[in-house]
Amino acid sequence: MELHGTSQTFDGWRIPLLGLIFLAGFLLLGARLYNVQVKNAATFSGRLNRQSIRRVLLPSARGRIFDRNGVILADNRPNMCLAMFVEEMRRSGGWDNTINAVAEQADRVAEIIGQPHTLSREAIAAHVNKRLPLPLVAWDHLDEQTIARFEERTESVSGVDVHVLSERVYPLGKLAAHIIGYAGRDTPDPANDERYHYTVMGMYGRAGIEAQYNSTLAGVPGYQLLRVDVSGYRRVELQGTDPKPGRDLTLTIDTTLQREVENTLAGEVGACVVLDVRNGDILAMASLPSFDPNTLSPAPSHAFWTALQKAPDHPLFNRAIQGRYPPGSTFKMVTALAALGQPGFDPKNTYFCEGIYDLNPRPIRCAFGEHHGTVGLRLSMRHSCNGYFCHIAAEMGPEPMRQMARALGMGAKTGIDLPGEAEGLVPDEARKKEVYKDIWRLGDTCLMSIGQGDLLTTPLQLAVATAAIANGGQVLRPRLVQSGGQGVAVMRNINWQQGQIEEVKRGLEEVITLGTGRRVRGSAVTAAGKTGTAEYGTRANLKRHAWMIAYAPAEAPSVAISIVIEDADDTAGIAAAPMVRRILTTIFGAAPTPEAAPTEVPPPPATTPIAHPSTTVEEIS
Amino acid sequence: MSTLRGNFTVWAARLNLTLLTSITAAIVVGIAFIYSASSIREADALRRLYLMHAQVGVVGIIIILAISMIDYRRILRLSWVFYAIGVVLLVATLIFAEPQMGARRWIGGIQPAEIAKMATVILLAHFLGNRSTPRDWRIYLLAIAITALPIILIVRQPDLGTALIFLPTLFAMLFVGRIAPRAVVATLLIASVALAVFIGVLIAAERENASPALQKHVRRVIPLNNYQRERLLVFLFPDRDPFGHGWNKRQSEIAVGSGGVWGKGYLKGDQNLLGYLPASVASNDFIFSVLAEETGFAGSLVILLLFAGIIVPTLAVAYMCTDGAGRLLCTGVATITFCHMVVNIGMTVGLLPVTGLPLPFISYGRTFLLTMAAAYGLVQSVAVHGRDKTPQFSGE
Repeated sequence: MELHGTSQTFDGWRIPLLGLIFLAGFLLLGARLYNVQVKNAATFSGRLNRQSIRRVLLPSARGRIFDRNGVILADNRPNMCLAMFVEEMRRSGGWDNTINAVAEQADRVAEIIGQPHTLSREAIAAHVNKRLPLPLVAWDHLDEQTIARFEERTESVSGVDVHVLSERVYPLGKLAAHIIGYAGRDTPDPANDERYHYTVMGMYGRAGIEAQYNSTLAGVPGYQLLRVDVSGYRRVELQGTDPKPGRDLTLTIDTTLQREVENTLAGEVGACVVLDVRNGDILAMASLPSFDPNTLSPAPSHAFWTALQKAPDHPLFNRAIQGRYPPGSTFKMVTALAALGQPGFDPKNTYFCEGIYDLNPRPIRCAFGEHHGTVGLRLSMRHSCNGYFCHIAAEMGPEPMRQMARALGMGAKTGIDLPGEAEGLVPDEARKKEVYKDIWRLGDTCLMSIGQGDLLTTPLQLAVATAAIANGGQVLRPRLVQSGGQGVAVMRNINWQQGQIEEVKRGLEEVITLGTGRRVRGSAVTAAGKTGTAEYGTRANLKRHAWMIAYAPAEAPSVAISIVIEDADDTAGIAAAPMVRRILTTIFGAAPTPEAAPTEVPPPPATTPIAHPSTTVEEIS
Repeated sequence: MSTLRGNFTVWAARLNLTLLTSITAAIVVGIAFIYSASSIREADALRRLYLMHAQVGVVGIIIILAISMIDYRRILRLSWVFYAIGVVLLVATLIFAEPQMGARRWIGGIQPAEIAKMATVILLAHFLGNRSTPRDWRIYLLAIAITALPIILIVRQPDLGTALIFLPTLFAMLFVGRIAPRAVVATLLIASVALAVFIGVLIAAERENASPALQKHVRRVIPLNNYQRERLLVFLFPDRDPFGHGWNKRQSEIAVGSGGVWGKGYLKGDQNLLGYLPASVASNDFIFSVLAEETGFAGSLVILLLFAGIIVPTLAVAYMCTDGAGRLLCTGVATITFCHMVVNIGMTVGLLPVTGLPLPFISYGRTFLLTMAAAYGLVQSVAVHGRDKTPQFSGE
């Protein structure tokens, strides 16, 4: 017999060495655990949260929009829906079981309420995959009867419930559509990882005030953090904030006036702005043709949208701030102001009009070939004598006119609180050279003096310029929303000499009392203004924009008006002046004693700057 | 023959209480965290696992105490019988067992691989511990052959993880038994180089811009099935396939890591509650993830200490033992325990590839718990009887 484990067979160091090797293993594990659980705990907690926490954005109630008298222009309306709550229909086993359960339940409810549902299997599957904790809307815009019918049987259908969505509605339809704009369904933020976040889509302002003041109107969406399990089912609601409703907005416009202005322009293609000359409030602003924002919210059908985009008169285009038109003779007030600012200019100096201003290569004519004879500044404004203005413009050169135009806000955005405003154009030598590869010529100066050539203005810019003349030199930033207590935004103060501005004002008053704007008369107040008929197009297809700018009352102005009618049938004095009268009557009332109705007066020949009938304006300049 | 000298007091005095306490504590920890891992699950069978673990645990402790009363030398004499039973069961498994998840590991509710593992350790201890056994390369080859048979059968199941555990156990026993030291060292060196080359080739063939031809070729040549290869690759390339083969690894790391220093609290492990840690593995292979998430680094350290409380006394028993078979038996059992612990915990923290090796006494698994109990019963028997100066056992 031999002994096991005698000192001969036993090396005392081998087991301790094995123990040391094991110790190394323990230390390695301990170090790794320290690394994972202590040093990098935050990383792994982050991963856990990222895969198990879902953020659900909850839309806030959108603020409403009112006119200055509290008439509601944009409102929210509940849209009664029936929604499926998939989590309550969870079936064990594969996802197919749950999807089938949802589909069956939808069929059952469809039978109860007598309305087919619109859910395809794919839609249910997509919802289950991506937005499980959110309600799946299966029927929307349900009437009360249908909801009642559902609620009678609600116990027999689990997992389906009434769900209220908010919808934007514009109670007055097309009225002030270009001002209000419209709000559409919010689109998901592409940066938002759909895998981990759900967004209940709210509304997003797409045009007009809805877009400009979207952040005010939209409020702050609330959110809810959910902890979901590996299948995506809600486990716990961690925390959240309630949505903060958006603020209501009160606009400066007056719905009654706005409606009258739109009715006045009805049937025409054009725009009109009515501005309070004391503070820049826009009392009315119309652009025709128009559209009904209800048809665009929350989202128009593709066909409807395409049709709207391709409509010949571009109803979505807000002509009042985006339309760029040559101002025609209305610009003569600017030319007059510029000339009066020149040292040595005397408005009483006369010019003899033979109906044509000789200009190489093409002369400028007065409208209808009229000869105005001996005219000074006032008479020239009254009759809109092109020759006189070319004459004084040639003497002072183009720069004073440009300076005056820019001072009055032309060639730049007025700063109205609407998106998409156009700048217009006050042409100068540099542009002439760049676009036409030519130097600035006398003809360009002359065309500018009568509001033709490349000069382009928006109806709003002319309203602002008119208001500045009316209020004695304050160029105001027009506004649609009176931001509480912020007061009037004065863009610029022009320091005219007393004689300078008074002379122009008298001239503008005489346009109404004695000149081309006589058809404005008939309201309770005296107005001042200027007509303009800007021609464009070729001889074969000659078109004209009829312009009229005005302010009233002449002695203490409160409103300025600017109207443009595209492709008018008549000259401005006939086409636009009566519209101004109608608007002024709406504001100030009709004349107490019916004086001679302007329509009975033989139509005064509105003078028209004729570039050259045989050519386009561009060719001349 | 062992008689305990008819003295209960001697048995009680020599029983290693640290070892017994640590094992009992580990079983209790297992019950608590199997409950945490499974109590919220939908299936009744899963929810009752902790009760089953408790019952089997009680049986296991009884087995430990019972075996410790018997002189281990009497049991070692039967080692060839155990080995034969183990091999026969493994063969039967390969022939009769129904495949579950692509592998045949169970027959009649037991896992023959675990039985074969212990039987092999007992046989090796008996064979190598015999003083008359020469310590040369022929014995070395024989030991390898004894070990290779169950390994081959287990690889066929396939259960690569369990099969590989045989190797460090064998080499630890060869080392402590002083069998052919040069041959052992040479084998280990060659194996290390081979492993490094293997891993290197695999990385070269599977990295993102590897040529498809090379990849195809390597995949055909390496002795791994798709599943094993992917598990290894997930380990080698941590960002690979996070929603497929890498899921368990990734979710386990998140569970352990998010536990932080102090853990989230008992029954409050999000990864487990929310099902990111799959129910099928949370109570067995990944029980440590549940535990580490709920008790944090502090709890992890307690578990390491608990295993130190099992392994260190076992090595101490080996050291104190006066005969070679007892020493080798304890060495083998300690090595198996250590390897299971390192591989299991290592895989939950991304230190080692994922394999299906349970955490001794804590993971749910009846066969493994009972065979481990039997093994520690033998260790306790060595503690009780191994110090007797009188040789009780003379080998063949």
